[in-house]
Amino acid sequence: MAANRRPPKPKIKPARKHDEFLPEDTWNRLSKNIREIHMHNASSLSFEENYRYAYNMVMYKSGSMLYNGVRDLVAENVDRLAEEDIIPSFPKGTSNDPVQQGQENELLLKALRRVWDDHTGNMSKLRDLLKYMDRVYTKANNVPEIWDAGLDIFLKHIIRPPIQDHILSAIVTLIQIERDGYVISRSAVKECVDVFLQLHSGQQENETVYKRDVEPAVLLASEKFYKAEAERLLATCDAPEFLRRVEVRFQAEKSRTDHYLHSQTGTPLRKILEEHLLIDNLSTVVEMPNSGLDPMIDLDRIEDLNRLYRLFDMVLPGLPTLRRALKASVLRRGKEINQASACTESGETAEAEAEAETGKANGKAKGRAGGPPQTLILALKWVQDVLDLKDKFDKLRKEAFLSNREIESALHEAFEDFINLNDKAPEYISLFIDENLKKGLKGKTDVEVDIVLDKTITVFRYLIEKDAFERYYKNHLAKRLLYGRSVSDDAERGMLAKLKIECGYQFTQKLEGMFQDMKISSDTMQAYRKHLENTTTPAIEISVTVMTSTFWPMTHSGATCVLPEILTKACKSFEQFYLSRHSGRRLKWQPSLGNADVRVQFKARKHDLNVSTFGLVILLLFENLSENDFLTYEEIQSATSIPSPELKRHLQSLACAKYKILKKHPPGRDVQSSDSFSFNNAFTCAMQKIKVSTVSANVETIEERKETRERIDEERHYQIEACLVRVMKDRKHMTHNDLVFEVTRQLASRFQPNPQGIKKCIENLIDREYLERCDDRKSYNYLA
Amino acid sequence: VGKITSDEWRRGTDALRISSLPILATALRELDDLVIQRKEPIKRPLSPVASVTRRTSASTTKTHELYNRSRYWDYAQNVERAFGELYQFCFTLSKPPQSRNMDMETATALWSVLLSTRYPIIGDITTFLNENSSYRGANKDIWNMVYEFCRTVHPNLDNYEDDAAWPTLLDDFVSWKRGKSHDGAGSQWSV
Repeated sequence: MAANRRPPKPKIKPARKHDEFLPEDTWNRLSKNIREIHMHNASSLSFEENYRYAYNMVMYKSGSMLYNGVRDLVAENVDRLAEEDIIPSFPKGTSNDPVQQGQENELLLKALRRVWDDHTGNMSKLRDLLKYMDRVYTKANNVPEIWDAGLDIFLKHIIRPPIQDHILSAIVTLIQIERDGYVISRSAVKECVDVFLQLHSGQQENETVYKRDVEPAVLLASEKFYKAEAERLLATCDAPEFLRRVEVRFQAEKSRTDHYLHSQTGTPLRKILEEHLLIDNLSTVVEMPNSGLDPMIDLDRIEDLNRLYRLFDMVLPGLPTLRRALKASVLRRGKEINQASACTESGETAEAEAEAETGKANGKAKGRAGGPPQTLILALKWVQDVLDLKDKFDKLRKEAFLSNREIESALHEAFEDFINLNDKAPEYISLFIDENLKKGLKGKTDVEVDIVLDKTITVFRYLIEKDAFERYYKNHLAKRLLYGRSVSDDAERGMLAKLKIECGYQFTQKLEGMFQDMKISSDTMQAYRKHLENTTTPAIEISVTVMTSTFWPMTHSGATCVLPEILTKACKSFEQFYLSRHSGRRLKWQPSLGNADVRVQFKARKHDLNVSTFGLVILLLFENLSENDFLTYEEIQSATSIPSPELKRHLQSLACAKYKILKKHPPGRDVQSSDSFSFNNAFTCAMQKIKVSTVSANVETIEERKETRERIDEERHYQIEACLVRVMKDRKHMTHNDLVFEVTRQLASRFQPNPQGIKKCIENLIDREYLERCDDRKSYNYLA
Repeated sequence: VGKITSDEWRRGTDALRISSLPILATALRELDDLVIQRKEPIKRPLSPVASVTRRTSASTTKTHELYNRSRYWDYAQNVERAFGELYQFCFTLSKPPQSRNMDMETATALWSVLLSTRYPIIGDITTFLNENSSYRGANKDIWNMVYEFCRTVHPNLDNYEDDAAWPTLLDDFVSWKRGKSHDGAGSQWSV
């Protein structure tokens, strides 16, 4: 509203009296005053007067003269300002010193800002002055208001070549200088940027000059810079350093955007960085020799890896690249571990083949001093290495990769892959547990025991062929229980419980049965001893373990021998006792699994020997012989009826091993059927009690392995058939694919069935009329 | 195989009204033509519509039938079904009574008689089986499936579905055959 109000004129007729309104005159006066304003002499003017001039001009239809006139004045002023202030400030561009360059450019930007401030100050005053014009004239005549017109003028007169170019280049140069590490006046740039943000270019309403001109220039320069920067960094830095510098750049650019560029530039700028610094170089960084991902993992550089993870996470292809690389790394290491255990296997193969060629029948390890223990060591090493690898990567995953799910799954897959590449993995894991339950855990606290077992379970989880593991575990457990080699019953049961959680009841059923048997046997023995108090004791003290045949692995079944009478009497006594307690059972003696304590009189002294039952039987043959008598191999064999391979093994342990209870003629390590044996009366040993252990292999030989594998395959065959029948009985009718899928799913916890194998089993069942094909040839029916 | 009791003989020839060997030969040939060679059935002579004059048994007087072709016409109505019956019968006929399979030699021989005229792929199957002596016998399932296979799968095996419920023998055959045809094509190119 006008500050001074003139008395409203009568509307009827225009005023004829008073001062005649002379537009030119008024304009002259007004323009002079406006010039004063431009010269910063506004304070000496009367606001009211000038307002009135303007008002009158509009009233008297001289609005256009006013408007255009003001416009011209403003333009004139702006030009003048540019002349005086901006243009002299153009940087000379002669010096190469970045500091000086920076200063020169700064001056220019500051000049621009000054001019802007000046201009806007003027415009604001003019706006106040010309309020009436704005209200009435501009709308009616469809011209922009004076403020906007002012901006427009500024735009046209200042933001044009060459000024514009200089300004833009100044901004870009300053940014570059800052990127090169020098300090610039951020405020100068910011103020300039603010100017641009307030100017709208003519074409589009919403696009500021900043967006139209400044931003593209900045982005262009940035792109060029970072392309070069990436190359520079790659050429000069190793991977961790590269990542460090990249991170620094990211932070710098963010700070730059925050401080003096507009936030909308932040995103495209970031994209440039991501693209040139990261995306293009992901694989290069990861695979950099001597400093890439693998070396970082080797040296446990948690911080570097963490940085890598964070940076890679920013870009879309980053994590997948990282995952791939990690997977490859794990696989490589895993394969190395597999290799280490495999190469001596080939040594063993060569040896076994050589034996076969020279016609030696005994396939079992025959006390090759280096042989089985070495492979056992390999097995243990394998498992330990795998556990260590897992630990290492778990730590990395938690600390460096912040437990990212995708990384976790990539690592899982990799572990699963390489563990199952090693087809001896089930055996090795079982051996590891075996070893730990035998001696390794002695002295460890419960908690430590638990930790070791838990770790073993994690490796176990990766196994696909769990049924192979079960078979080995059963065998090893049987040996442990029968020979009393477990260190701790609690640990055994703990292990069993964990396996039950992993694989379900079915898996551990038989194993638990074995434990039961041991317990029941000891109870039975107690009762037997009590019973003996009331009857005649047989000459030999006997201790019996009764095994339920379905629970125990029957690998040792069959090998029997002719037992001397005193032994059989003892056996019979127990048998009688047992059968009187349990009717309807049959006992089958397994002398191959037993052992005996026997006191043997040598020339020097008596020794208490612990030998296997077969060993005992052999020794008893020598009981009444004189010193120089000998028995041939054949004689021993016919007297004892021990099968040949067993016999050789036991003779070896008695005559060729550490403690030579018997003498072999001719002496040597291996037993031939032409050998003969005599009692070694001259035997001496420091210890009174000696355990003569039978030479036996802990790790399977090739033949044994083949046999085990055949049995496993057979077992799987039955499992598949049983599963098929179960599923079909339930569903009555199923398509082929669904059936295969369902069976695979159900058996997944034990092993991975082969679809071809399933098909063969299906055909088998069709043949045996459990199933029939449907007419559509895609599905089957259950035949009750 | 190949044993017919005198009782069966009598009953059969009686029903067919066959009284001499040449006629038997003709009957067999006609049946063979119809069911196995799939030639056109013999034109059925029109029933004596205009046999107004004769009022005695209209069945046999006008038509000078060589033998009782009623079964023949029956089969001619649905040749495919007839063949199916024959095919099934052959299995039970040729296998040893106690076992569930017949040996592969017999099977291949029968297939060549029954199927090879219409389905030349039998030739390939026979070659395959001869090369792989691991397939010792053919049980009912295989017997039926081979016929299905011939009926439904194109000779170039392009519509054979690997994951459908074909017996593994046929799966192996298909991959063998595909391998061979690739080799054949390959050797053509390696000039």
